[in-house]
Amino acid sequence: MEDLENVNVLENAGQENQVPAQAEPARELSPKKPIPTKKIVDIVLIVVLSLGSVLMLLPFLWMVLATLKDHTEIYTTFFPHKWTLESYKAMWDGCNALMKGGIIRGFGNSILTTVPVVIVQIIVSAFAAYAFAKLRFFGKNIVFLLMLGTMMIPFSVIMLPQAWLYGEMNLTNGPLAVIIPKFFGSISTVFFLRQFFYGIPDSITEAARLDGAGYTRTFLSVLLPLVMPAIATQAILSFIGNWNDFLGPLLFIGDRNWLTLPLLVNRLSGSGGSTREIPRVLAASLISLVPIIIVFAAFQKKIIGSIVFSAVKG
Amino acid sequence: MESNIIEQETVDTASPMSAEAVAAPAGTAKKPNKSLSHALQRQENLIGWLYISPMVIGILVFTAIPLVMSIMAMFYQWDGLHSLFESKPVGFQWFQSIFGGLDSASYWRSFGNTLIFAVQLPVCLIVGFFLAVAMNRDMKGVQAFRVIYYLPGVMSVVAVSIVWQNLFTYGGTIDQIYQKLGGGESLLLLSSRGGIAFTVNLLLVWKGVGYTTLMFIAGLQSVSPDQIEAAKIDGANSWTILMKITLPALYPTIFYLFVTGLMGSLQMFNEPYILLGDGNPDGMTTVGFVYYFFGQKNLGLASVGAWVLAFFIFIITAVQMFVDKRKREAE
Repeated sequence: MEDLENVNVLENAGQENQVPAQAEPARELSPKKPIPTKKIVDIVLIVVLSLGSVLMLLPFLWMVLATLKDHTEIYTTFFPHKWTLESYKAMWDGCNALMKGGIIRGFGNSILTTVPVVIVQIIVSAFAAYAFAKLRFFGKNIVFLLMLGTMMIPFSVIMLPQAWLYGEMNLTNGPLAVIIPKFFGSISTVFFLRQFFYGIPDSITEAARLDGAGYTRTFLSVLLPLVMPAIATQAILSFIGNWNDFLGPLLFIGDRNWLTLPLLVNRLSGSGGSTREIPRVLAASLISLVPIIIVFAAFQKKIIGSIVFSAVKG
Repeated sequence: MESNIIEQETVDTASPMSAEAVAAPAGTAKKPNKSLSHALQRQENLIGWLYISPMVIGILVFTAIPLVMSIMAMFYQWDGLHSLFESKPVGFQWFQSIFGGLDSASYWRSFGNTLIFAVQLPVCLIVGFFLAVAMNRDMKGVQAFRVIYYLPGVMSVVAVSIVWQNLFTYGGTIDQIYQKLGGGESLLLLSSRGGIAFTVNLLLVWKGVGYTTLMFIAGLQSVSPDQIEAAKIDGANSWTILMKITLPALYPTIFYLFVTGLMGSLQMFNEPYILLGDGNPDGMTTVGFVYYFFGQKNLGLASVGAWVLAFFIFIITAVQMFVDKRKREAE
């Protein structure tokens, strides 16, 4: 593709110069004229990438507009003929038994099953990552290998006995089944943070130790500030992952008063047979995206940077 | 006699190599130091285990116990409500059912669906490669493009799947456009086998291509500009450079994305389930099969289904480890 563009570009460049006599030998000497070629390729690429961007964003635009439509025109028009906020009002008030108390209830459930998990999981994982990276203790390597081994177990294998186990522990009546087990840390976070602790020279830890700081003091006041950027990245990724999680809550939350937003939206779209519900379901979906959009907008550099990091590592 | 002396000498020369001696060289009193370092080591053992104890407990309770139970469950008629130990043992009944028996057709059909929904993976790799090359240039707005293409990937799978459901459903927005353009009644994008295969893959490409693009952009940093410059001087055109220099430099990234993507694809559940609901034979993935029989209160059959899937995932993991090991040995 680029090849073809370059051929066109060279011809165009020759015409623009309007000195064909000179352009001919110049092309002989250096087969590429870097500056104009690059510019025109840039423009072509920007046009192509922009068209792609429209395709990427079009479903979101359709979604926003659909929530502002009357249900009768949901599929037939792109822009609403009659703009209405009815679906948002219905979501706020709660329009059926599932939505009792309004969308704010589902929102609260999602916050409750996300924020404490992110905080506790990061703290527990950071302590373990520090131990695996900087401390020498009996059985460390075997335990670490076993932990990595458990990462290979597909979730689908253990999810059904987990559902039974959480039921036995009386966790499935409320939201606790998607909260408590995650309090015990995340292996991928440990693995990620361990790399960062490795990067800190031992001389720093030893200096702190010589000053009389214990293990916990050394960790909290010397090492933790140094890996804070990595911890922040993990917290952001954990927030997005937990907020969007679907299969876990689907299996482990039995009580419909405790449905998280994704689960609530899914039930809502499955429950109504009429098109009447569609703008409302889409409004609920859009509301469920708001925290993710905010987090992504605020931290997109960190999020994208973490992917680049994993690419370099992998 | 002689050999004894040599042995003693080697022991003597070896002893300064031990950790305590290195830590406290030049004739400082060895005995108190040794016990001190022992005490320190004991303390470090304690602290280390204390710090990892929540993770160890979590893995034992929430992973190890369910793991053992899921192995046992394959041989029982377990409804998931009562205790496994009170359930009736059925031997290899569920295995027979999946390999040639009553549920064989359903299971392998869902396995086939899963593979059909994995077509998105090579598409994401190819499209992502070209997008990465396009976005790796020094030009205005490139950062914005990276963010926009990645955006669908971070959004809630439920929310975006519901949007796609309404766009592609029978009589939905796409069908309305199709009718206006003078086509037939419906493209059956969510109500025929081919339509479902197309729609689910399209959704997955839309959600996933930003990620592969970003990974390739990161991988492109390893392409040496000198090599490209040299090829240009040799008269290679852009396409040749792309295929002969850029692409080979990305082989490790391609391998990584393919393997992790395949493992993710084999465990696909969310998108087809949300688009098509529970138990749709054309939309049921392997994990969907497991979930369906969880709903049918047959956790034995579901566990066999899950373990057969896990077997294929383990094979892929083994291949990945083998290739990684060979790569490290080559370096």
